[in-house]
Amino acid sequence: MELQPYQPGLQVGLASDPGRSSEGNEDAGFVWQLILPQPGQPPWPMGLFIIADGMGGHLKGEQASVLAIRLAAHHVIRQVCLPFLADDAGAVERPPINEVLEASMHIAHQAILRQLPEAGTTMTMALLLGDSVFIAHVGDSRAYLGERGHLRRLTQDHSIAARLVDMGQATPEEVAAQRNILYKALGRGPKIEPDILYRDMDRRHYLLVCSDGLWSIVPEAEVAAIVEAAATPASACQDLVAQAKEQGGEDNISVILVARDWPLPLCAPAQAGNQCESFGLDPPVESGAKASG
Amino acid sequence: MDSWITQESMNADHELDTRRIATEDRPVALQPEGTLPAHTVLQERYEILAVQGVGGMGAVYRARDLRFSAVVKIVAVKEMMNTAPDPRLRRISVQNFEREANILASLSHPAIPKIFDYFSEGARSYLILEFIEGQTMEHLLEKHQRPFSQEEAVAWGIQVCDVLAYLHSQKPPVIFRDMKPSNLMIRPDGRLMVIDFGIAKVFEHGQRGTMIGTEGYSPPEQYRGVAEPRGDLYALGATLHHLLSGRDPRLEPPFTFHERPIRLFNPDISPTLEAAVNKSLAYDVQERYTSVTEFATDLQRALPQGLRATTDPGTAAFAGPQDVTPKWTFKCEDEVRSSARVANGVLYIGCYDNNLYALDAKRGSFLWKFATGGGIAAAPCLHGEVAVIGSEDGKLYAISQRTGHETWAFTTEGCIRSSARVEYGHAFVGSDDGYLYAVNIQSGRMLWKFQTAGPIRSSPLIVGELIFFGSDDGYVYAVDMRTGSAKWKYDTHRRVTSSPTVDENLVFIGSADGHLYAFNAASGWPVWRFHTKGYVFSSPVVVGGTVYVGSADGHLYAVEAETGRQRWKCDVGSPIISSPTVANDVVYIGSNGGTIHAIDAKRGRQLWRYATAGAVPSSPLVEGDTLYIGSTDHMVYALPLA
Repeated sequence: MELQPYQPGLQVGLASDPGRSSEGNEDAGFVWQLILPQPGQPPWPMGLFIIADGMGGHLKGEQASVLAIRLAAHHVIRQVCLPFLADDAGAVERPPINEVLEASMHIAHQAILRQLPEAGTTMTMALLLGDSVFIAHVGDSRAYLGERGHLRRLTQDHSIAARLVDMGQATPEEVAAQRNILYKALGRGPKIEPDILYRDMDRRHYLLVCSDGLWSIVPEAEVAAIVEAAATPASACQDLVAQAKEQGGEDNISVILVARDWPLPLCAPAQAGNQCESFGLDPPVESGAKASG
Repeated sequence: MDSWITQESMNADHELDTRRIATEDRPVALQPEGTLPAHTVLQERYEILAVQGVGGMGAVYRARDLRFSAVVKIVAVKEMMNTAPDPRLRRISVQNFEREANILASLSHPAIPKIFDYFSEGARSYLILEFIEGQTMEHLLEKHQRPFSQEEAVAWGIQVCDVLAYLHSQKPPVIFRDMKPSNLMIRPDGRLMVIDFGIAKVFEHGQRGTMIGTEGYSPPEQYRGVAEPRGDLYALGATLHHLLSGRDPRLEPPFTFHERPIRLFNPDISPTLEAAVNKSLAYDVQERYTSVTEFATDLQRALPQGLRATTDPGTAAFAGPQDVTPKWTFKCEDEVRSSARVANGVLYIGCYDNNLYALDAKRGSFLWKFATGGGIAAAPCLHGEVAVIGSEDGKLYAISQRTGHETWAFTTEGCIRSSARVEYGHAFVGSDDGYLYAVNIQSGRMLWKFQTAGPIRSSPLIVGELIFFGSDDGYVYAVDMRTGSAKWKYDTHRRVTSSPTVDENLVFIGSADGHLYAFNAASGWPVWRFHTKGYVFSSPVVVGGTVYVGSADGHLYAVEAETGRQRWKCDVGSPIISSPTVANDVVYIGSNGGTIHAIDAKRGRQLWRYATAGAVPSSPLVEGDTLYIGSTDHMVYALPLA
């Protein structure tokens, strides 16, 4: 097996397109990443990736998705990421990730209620810290974790249609017309409780976050094939958007793709763990804490 | 005092969206934009006094009717601002408003506000209504912060049934379509009013309406555009579920009431009442009550039965004699705080009478005991031929399982209350001297020691090359097993006496700060923490993606391992220090009240309990069909499991 060239950071692509809609682009995408050098150890990647799909009409949807992203990202970066740049990283108070992510969504939710009372937005946020990815999610944008030959959805859509299908009360075809009625979104309801997930993400994996403009049009198998065939994550995102538009996507289309290595390592799923470990490139995730004794 | 907030009956913007959200009330802004200033006079008759609430499409005002100059007649003015750019949508909005006026004008019921007038001025339309003093049920729920009693909820429920029965008996029937706490007003005299007929609809069979409703309370068929009387029944059931369980359905996925049985959150509710509410919440319309009158009858029945029934499952089951009879008991000379271990048919357990006991696990007969120089709080670790156990005399002992004789002893500078773990040929144990020790299991010689700033009573967990444990200095530590140096540490600011457990790559541990923590094992990142209202000295266990842990707040908690969300909690009536054990979908745990509890691992319901005569900080051990546990009543118990 051929070793991939060592790439210390993250390989990232982002594309957002109004699609064939004449109403402008209510989607917004956010990408932020850094590579944290560590004494005597490989650098540690960190990143925040968000897709928000606004709703509300008359520019309100656009404003809602952008406002929500700005405020949520600001909170997460300030609470989780920036402390690593402080003088004594070992002494940093590390708030539980779920609380930071929940708080960031709450801040965005409150801001929309206050400033854009007619609007709302979905938000799917992925915080990557070393080998771990944390997802906070509200609405029907989606996060997927993939590797060669395999793509798995991490999030559940907060839509009535998805709920009815989950309950076995309807087939996806029967509720297709209601696919776009959400029961949870930022800016709607008394308070917001996002779904929070936590997954390992090693060098064989890629993370894909997208709005419904992609997943409702391009089947998952096709998404996986486009990703795996692309020269870079950026071109993969362009290709995915192009495919959605070609298949008649009326809606806004946004997608973010993140991987540690590109091209994706050639791992057979059955033994992927072993093979990827044999690259020996995973930087150990050291918090920087010092022993007192 | 608050007033009623209008439900937006039709949001024009939604039609332009790629996506819609079911309608929802907005919180009342302090200085709502676009509302009429005080002293504005409408139709030369209604003087605006104050804004009472703001809804999606306009405000509700308190106003004075100037026609009655001799008295102060207060009325409510409900406003609709019609700002939709699309003339078709504007027309629909006005039609809805007029429909509300016409429905109200045709109704006469003491729990429905009277309508006096309606008119339009420019882009705004107004209804003049009876002014109702009181608070919305939603406001009461917010203030109450806990479930309502069944007597209160049933009394309200029956009043709502009466109103709905009246509406449904109209020809054609009027479907309210938006039953929820914010549309119920409770007057100062306790009488209930149903407000906001913004989307009430005169029912015609088979008609498919616009999909509008309030998430969480709305019946499933409403999303298919079906509005019929049994939809109101469902929404009332949902409202009662909220009142009785204290769980806001708007924060849960739709149609999940059956996953949150009321009695799980409010055991005081009678099973009869729970069953009645469940029936009103059936997904399938045909499985609900056929009418609200039938529902009201069952609610009425539930109450007196309920008063008797509150003492059945969960509580009454324990009121009588013991639920189980021990297979055997063994009496020691002092408190048994240690937990048992069993190997080759022999049970080993420590006692505050300084001894480590070896008993025949089947019969409870005495085999041998080994006397240390202090009380034994720790549980033994059985490894090969020896039992390794620490004592409050400061020593860690390796004792031959066969003979009960000492193989070696290792001395620390403090009491040992931490239970030793043996891995890779070494015993790891904490001491009140603040050190974690690595001691060779053959020779009893120290390999290294790791210093913390407080006693270590937590028992170490070894995963791969890392050792996880807590210290009374407030930190959770991950120490490299080979070098004895810290890989990471995390400050919880309170004692960490709980012992860690691991699942996948998450490490779980409790703290006296009241939280159960989940850390990324490699990096020490706290992935989540779960709040309880007491110290968490209990050590968590993970089974099937659920973490079980006890708290000094008197509850056993089941928490989703991945997300830190509560699955259920079970009130055991006294603080928990004991650590749970799970076997065959049953969680076993001791409590300071002296009782050993068996709790359904899936639902959190008590299955049985056994009372001892002292607090039970000891943790249960399940071996085959027997549960072994100690108590501060000096006894070791072997309880049969079905």
